[in-house]
Amino acid sequence: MSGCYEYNALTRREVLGRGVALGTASLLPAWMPRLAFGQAGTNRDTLIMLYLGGGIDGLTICVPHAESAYYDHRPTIAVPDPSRSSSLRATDLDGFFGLPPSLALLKETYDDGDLLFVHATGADRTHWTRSHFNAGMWMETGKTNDPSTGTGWIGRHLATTTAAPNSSIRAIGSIRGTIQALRGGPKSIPLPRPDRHRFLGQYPDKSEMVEWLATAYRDSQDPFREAALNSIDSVSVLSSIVFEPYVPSGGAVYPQNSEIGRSLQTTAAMLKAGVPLEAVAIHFDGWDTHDRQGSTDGYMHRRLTEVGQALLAFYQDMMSSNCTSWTLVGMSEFGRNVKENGSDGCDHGTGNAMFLMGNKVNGGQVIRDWPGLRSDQLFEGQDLRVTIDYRDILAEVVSKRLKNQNLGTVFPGYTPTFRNALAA
Amino acid sequence: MGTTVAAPKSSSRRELLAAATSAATLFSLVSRAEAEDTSAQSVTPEVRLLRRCTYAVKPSDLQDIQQLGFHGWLEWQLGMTDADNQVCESEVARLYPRVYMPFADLRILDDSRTSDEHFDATMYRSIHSERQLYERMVEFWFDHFNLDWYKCSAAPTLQFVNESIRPHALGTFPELLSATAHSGAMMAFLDNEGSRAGNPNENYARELMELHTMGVGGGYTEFDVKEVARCLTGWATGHKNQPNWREFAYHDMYHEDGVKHVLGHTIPAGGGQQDGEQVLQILATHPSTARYIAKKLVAWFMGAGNFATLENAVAQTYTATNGDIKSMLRVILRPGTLALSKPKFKRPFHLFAGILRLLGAQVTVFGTVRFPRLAEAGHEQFAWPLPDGYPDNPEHWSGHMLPRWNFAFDVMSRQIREVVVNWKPLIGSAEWPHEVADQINHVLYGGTMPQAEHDRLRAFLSRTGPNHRGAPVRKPSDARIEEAFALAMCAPSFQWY
Repeated sequence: MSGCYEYNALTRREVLGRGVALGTASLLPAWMPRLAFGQAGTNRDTLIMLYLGGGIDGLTICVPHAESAYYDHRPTIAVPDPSRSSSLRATDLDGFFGLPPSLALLKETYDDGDLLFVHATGADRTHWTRSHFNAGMWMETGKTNDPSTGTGWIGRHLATTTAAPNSSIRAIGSIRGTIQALRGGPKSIPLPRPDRHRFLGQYPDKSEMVEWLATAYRDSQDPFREAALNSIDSVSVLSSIVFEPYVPSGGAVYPQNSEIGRSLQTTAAMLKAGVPLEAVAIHFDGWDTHDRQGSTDGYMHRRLTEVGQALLAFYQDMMSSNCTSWTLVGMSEFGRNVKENGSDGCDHGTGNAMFLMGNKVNGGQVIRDWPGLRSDQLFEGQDLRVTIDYRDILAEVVSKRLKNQNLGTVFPGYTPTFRNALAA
Repeated sequence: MGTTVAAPKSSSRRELLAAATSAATLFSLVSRAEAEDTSAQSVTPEVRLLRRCTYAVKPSDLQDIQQLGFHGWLEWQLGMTDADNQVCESEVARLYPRVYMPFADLRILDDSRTSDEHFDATMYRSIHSERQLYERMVEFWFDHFNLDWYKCSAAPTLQFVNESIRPHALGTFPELLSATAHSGAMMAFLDNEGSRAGNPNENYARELMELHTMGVGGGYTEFDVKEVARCLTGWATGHKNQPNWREFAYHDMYHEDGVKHVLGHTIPAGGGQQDGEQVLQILATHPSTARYIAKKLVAWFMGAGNFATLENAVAQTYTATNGDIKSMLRVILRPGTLALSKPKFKRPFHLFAGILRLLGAQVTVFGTVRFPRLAEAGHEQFAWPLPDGYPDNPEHWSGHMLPRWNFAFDVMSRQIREVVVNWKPLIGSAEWPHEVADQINHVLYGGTMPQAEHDRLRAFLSRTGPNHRGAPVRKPSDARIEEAFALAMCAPSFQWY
């Protein structure tokens, strides 16, 4: 995060000056340590996990256009190969895989070496499941052989590293509830709307009320005492950040009226303002395309277009602000059936694609040990086979970019094989 | 204790209470409860039962159970019908006419208003209905068979609640299951309406076993999923411009004929719609279903913990009674059983409805309660996009405290235009800090506020503001009392039930 600070002044309110006039400083309880921006003091990247829940179709986000079997299995929903004359076709990446039209705008990032895909990846074959809920739980706990574990892989990473000094919030989740991957992480809270994170109501004694509340929780035995105190702390941290109006750097344009666009934009605003976030977990669901998935148009195309635009905007916004200390991981709970079903969609499957974005990514490649799509090559005769465990990729991120070598704790019972996806 | 605003009582309730013979006094009940500390499990069985079976325990609820006794109150709740609850239901019909509108009329109206009226009726019932346990069970079963109205539209979602969930919420599980399967909303939500012979859509078939009946790990295989999907081909919705548009319809032309094998049963060829009916029968009588339903019901009422013995007893009751829901509830809702349960964390809808119930707020339109407040708290209702329903798991909700506190802050400072709270009758003649604190404890906690929080609240009322610390005790201003009410609803123990 060290490169960002020249931009801090643009996005951070002067807490001790105008903050009073804006009615924010008076809300800071007297016992709370004063904020310290800009001295994160770590060499760790901020991890951004983009979880595309519902089981995103990896054969659409990274299209194996050189496999004729792909087109045999999918007469309706395949993305046409790059040799087609129509503009509605895949954009070639490496002669074998390609990007669908919805993600074609990321080709330049791929070529610049800041984006890569991993294919035929997923959960340990002995523990695979086509249940959303179990597959998702295991992905996020990062521990496939014991779904009862209460903590998530990012939570365990945070619990085995030291926070930056004066860090009030270490990790945030984008949904209106706790993201499983963050469970067990110190100072990790749901923060779906950082721009609206403040105490409401009209009271003459509001700051005293907030202090009463903080003291009531601090002195309690409440099981959620820490979560409550983190929520109160985070109000004062975020009150000093200007979320609106927000001007992205480098001419970046976030998609409007888009949940994923807003999530990545507020993330950029916080990181550029120097909030020492160590992890941002974003859930963007809606990929359970059993029905009317579409191909180069239709439902999935539209939703994936939002993702592509938001990713590109975030990348441009951050990079042109010289904010390069982040790594973004895109993943889902499982891939979808290689064969389309009778309702122009496809059912739950197994192997899938992941992607990594960031300055230290060894981009411009599709990492794979490709198992093939002929019927006799498919897992159980229907799914893309998993040949790279998803933990290989996540563990490499944790080790190289988050600088945490406690991989046995973050991914218990698993010895990862690094795939040269990232620079150390 | 001061007076409270009496809720309208149905005649049957008055008669029932008049006939009750319990001789114990209200005072003894409250004083036993006063020692309560949420982590220490010392509430009386009666208070625990009320907390588990209502959206919030009003002082009048304590009076009811005082007269009826634990079992009398439970049986009163289990025995009531809508006819016994006419004060509430006639208001629902008057205020939210779409809730009682025939589907043929409803389905052509705008979705957004239908969704609003459905939500408003749901919250109105949660606040005002005498059938509190019934409404809690409607919420439970809706989550169990969850739909997202953004996918399957508001009218079919309302019809699903009216015709599949509410008639069977205290009936039998096999009938409830069948009613949810024969619904247009479910066929749309889980994509079965697009399932075709030769290439079935597995979505509903999988969730039918994983979420609705046997549970993951219940013993079905991927082969069973595919076979059930074949059995259910043709279970869909009526075509546009047909009388049954958006309602359940079976289309034989989509049905995959041929023999099927489901969980060891052979389903012969030529069965048509009967294939699906047989699947429902097999699932409803499967031992895994008895265990899974028992486990979920126990978790709903008991919260976290290891209750294997109780789950077994409930599962046995399921099997012995063909899935009779009241019989299963009678096994769980016993004094000795509830004594083992830990407090549960209120989900946002529960918390919000409870606050309005306790304050006697005059609300009939809940527009800005729902959007943005409840939605930002993560519990818009009827809008959980996945088929597993809003989580009944405190870890999901625990970190997201601010929207909960903000609702209380907004309510007590009149920031929600639809919500009018007249708190003065609630505190009666109380005017000194300790009297006001006692009354807030009485109104919001039924006298069970933990001592430390109660002391802290009294101290807050004794001060007049941040610049008057240490000043002599004086009567708190109205504004100060409103602040104290808000804080009492934000306090740690108020988040639990």
